[in-house]
Amino acid sequence: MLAYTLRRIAQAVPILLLVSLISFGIMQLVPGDPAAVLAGPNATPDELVHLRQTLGLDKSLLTQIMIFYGNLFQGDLGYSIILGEPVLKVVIERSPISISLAIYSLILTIVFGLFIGVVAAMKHNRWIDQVAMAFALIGVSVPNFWLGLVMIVLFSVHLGWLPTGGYVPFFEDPIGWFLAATMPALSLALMQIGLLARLTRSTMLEVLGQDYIRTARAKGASEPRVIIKHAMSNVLIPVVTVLGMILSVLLSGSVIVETIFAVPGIGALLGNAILGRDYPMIQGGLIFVAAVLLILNIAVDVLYAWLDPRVRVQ
Amino acid sequence: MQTEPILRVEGLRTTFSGDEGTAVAVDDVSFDVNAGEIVGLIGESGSGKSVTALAIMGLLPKDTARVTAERILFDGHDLVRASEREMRRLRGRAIGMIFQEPMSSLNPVLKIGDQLIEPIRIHERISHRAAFDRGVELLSKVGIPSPIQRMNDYPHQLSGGMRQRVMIAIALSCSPKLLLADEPTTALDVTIQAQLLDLLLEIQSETKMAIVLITHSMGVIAECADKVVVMYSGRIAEQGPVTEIFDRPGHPYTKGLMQCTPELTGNPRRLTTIPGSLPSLSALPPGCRFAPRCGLALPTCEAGRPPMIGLRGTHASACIRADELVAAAAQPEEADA
Repeated sequence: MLAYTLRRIAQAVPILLLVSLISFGIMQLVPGDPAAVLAGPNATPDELVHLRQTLGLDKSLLTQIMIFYGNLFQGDLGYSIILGEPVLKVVIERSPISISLAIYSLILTIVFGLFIGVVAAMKHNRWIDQVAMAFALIGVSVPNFWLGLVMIVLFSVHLGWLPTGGYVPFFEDPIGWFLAATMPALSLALMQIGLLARLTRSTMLEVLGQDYIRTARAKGASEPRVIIKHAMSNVLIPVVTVLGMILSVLLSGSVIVETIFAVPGIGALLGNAILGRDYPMIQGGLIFVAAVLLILNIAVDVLYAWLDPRVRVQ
Repeated sequence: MQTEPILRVEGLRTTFSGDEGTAVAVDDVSFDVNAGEIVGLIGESGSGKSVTALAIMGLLPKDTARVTAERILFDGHDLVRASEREMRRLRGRAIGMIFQEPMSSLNPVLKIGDQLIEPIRIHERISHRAAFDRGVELLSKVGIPSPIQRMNDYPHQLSGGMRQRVMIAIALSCSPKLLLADEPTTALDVTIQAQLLDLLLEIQSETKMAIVLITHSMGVIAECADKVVVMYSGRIAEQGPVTEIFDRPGHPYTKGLMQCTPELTGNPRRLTTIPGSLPSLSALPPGCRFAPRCGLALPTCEAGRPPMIGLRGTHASACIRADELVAAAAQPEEADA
């Protein structure tokens, strides 16, 4: 198990290097002179020269790569042009906001997705199953930005139950955090709940038809025992595989949702950086998000191996 | 030496309802299993053998299958009318079951040990430690080497034969009075088949439990069983003591089954086959269901269901020409000539 985990971590290093190279390449891919694009049409030639020097664009490509990686290994992701602060500092300030939002929506996804899927499978072809699957279909079909806006109109404007947006740090005011984060988390999670419920239902139906379930019943196992001990342990295997993908969608989907709900997280930060052509910020943000996703995917793979003994052998 | 039967099945009928209507898989099946007896249930695939066993266990899917019977008496319980709770207390404790597919009958993500001691933990108030020790004992009893290590293995680490031994150990874990073995050796290599049958016989002679052995091999029946129930298309064609049926088969189907089994001793002969195949459950012939494939069929065979005709002792056959067949078998030389 430990060897497996270490191997997965070692495999992540080249991926991270590749991602950082791509994010470096973004600056090179800007058509024309990146400094001219950044400085805007009214910049004086002196300003352009100065900007090229600060960005290191006057040096050769190789030197630029060397400087980029040299800084990267020292944890220096450069300065944000818009905010005028070190990129790393900004990213570290904003990331807990997005991560807490992603974890909240992940919990919603797992709890409701699994519950709806299992109940639908156990009541296969009855009305509960049909209602659950209709709900899942709606969840999959509704775009999250639309859902976010509708929820703001309903729960904030008309009913006044929840704030329209913003963010309260969890450790300062947990209830305030909960009130502010519920709508963004829900609009992020709804589509994933639908997907997970459908996956759970079909996997559960397949597992319940397996011979080992019949064996469990032949032992005199009660129905809850059959479902929880014998069926769920097998249903969770494909579910966990999908969790890695769900997590990346929850993190990257936050660009739109954070903008709608005015949540000052990484998503909103990256969105503004793209609009404002803040290249160092985009580069740093990309590398950071990629690193977080890699760590999460390693965690999912390790969890997967822990659940399925057949994976550990390889 | 007539003992009280441990299992008495009377008028068992099982129907499956699906999109294309209802199909009768088992139709009016009755037989007895005495304590300590091995009863062979034989027939082609689709003749209703497995469905019979699953109906006794109450393990058929409740939404599609309907099981009725005058009674299924097991050790003082009427299994057709027993509550689900009562059935759960019998399954795994008083009645054990082994299935055909050892490769898929064990849960792939649970350790052998956990699966093995599960029935003990469900049915007996016993510590995990004591159950584990009994599990180790059971594994060595079914001939699995280094049982303590195997307890911590997962099913994919074991071969098919070893997994079937584990299944046997699970079925035996609470010392059942009755074991339902549904083609326990069909999916295994021939050499392993013989080993496992020997193992079952050895355990049976030790524990004196009754076994219903489902198979489609006459050879297995000849080697193991005390009594045979021959099933054809959901009904019983013939039943009786093994020696009686092998010496004097009273049904053309039984005779056909025996003629298509090669003998290792005696003169080599050309094997015969039974022409045709089982009738579809949705289009059953009105009279004797074997009549369309039977070389001895008379016009009356297709008119109505043939009654069970009592022959010598407990031997009975659902063939109107049973007496002729038995008489012919008494003088095999003349009959063949």
